[in-house]
Amino acid sequence: MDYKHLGYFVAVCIIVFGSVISWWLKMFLTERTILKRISLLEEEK
Amino acid sequence: MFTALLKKDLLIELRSKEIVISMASFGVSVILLYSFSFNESPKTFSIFASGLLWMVFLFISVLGLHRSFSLEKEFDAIGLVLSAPVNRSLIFLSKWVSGFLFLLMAQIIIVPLFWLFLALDIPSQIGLWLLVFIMADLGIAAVGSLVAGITLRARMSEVLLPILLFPLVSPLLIAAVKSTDALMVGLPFEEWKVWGAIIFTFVIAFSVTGVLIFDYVSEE
Amino acid sequence: MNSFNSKRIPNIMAVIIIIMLGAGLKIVVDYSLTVDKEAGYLWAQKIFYYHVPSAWTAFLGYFIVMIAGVQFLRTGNRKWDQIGVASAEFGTFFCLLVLITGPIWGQAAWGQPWTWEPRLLTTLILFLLYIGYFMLRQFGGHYERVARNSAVLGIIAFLDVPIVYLSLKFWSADTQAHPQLGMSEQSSLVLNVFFFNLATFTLLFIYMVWYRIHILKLKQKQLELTHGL
Repeated sequence: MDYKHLGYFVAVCIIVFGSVISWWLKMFLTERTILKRISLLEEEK
Repeated sequence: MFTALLKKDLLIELRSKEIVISMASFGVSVILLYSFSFNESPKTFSIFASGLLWMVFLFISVLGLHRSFSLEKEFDAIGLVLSAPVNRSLIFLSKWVSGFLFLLMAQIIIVPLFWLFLALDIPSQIGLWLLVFIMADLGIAAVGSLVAGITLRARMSEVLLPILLFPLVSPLLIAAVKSTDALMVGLPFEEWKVWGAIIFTFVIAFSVTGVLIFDYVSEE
Repeated sequence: MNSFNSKRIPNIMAVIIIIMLGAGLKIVVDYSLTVDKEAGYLWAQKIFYYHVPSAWTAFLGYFIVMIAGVQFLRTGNRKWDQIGVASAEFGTFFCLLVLITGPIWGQAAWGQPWTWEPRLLTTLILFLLYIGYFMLRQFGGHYERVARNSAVLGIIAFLDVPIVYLSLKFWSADTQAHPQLGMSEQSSLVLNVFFFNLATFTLLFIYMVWYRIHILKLKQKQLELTHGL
């Protein structure tokens, strides 16, 4: 087993999956704050 | 109409001479700095000469394009021109040609000084050499006018113009550097015709796109 | 308007994508092991199953930006502008993945992280261009103008791609020999794994763009509410 090259592969996996997951979380949180604001605005009316 | 628009640009420039003068003096001072910082023999320097030369031309074309378009912005002249019943493609064409002419005029001042200061050899195929300059200038002016039109009304337009222009123009820069290089060494056209073809394609692609698409740029 | 995750189709899609990503990882880890043995750098070779699909997705994204730009200029429909922005964002997202995974692979395969390789360079040039694109959107002024100008930019940016690629190909022909196998030279197993990941990434891209457009619409609604429209 070549551990150095395994390390490269693992790094790539972490970068790819990590960025996808953190992107999804960002979208989720943005969406939640916007929805909250919208419902507040609608209540005001 | 096209000639009227072009005449307007050229007349303004003829009276003030601010665009060509600023382009040329900036270019010459950069060349002066080159000769200070690369204190090498002409033989060594000639390896990098064409690359450095085209870099200067890119910088000064940003300068000139920005000035030429912000002149329009100063009195909101472009608003007037745009609201006039003029085909916008003609505005692009006039800006393209005037940008090309300004760049060429600045080069007429810069290039001889470059050769003189850095003691370079004069290329043997002088006609082809001039043709490369003219074609590449047409390319730079075409993309440049298009990008300047896009960024004209943005905040920080003076920063946005080079940020967008340099990546777009990179194939043209490579091709122009490679062909001037080849000409300075005296290679026959057969050896570098690929680069000629790329310059030609670039000019055609962006002038046609410019004419077709400028209609849609910042329609108010 | 509801949350994106309360809709049925996006949810199904998300589940499929998660399963496909997991299955893809599993396949890449053990299935293709038998094929790559001769390659010498076993594990590093597998990076390609993520690197190349990212690149394809990035270019797909930029292609859609161009199409959306043309459509927006023709119709003036806000929907096309939203599709354009969302595609540009995720094109750039995958572009960044390409630019990070490429040098890691280069380090493993050639012992140097950056080589002047035409495709990697084309990606870098596009990435720089799209940074300009987002700056233009940021500083461009009012909405109508930004939408128009960035549509035009999206079109000319994609038109530039073939010229950039060709010139870099001729330029780097003498600088760096890039060891690469043609598609037909790969064994069918490698290709199957590769296309599986490609499908996953494309699906992921569609999901991302969809989610982003949903949020853009929500933002627009919020804006309209605050201005009392």
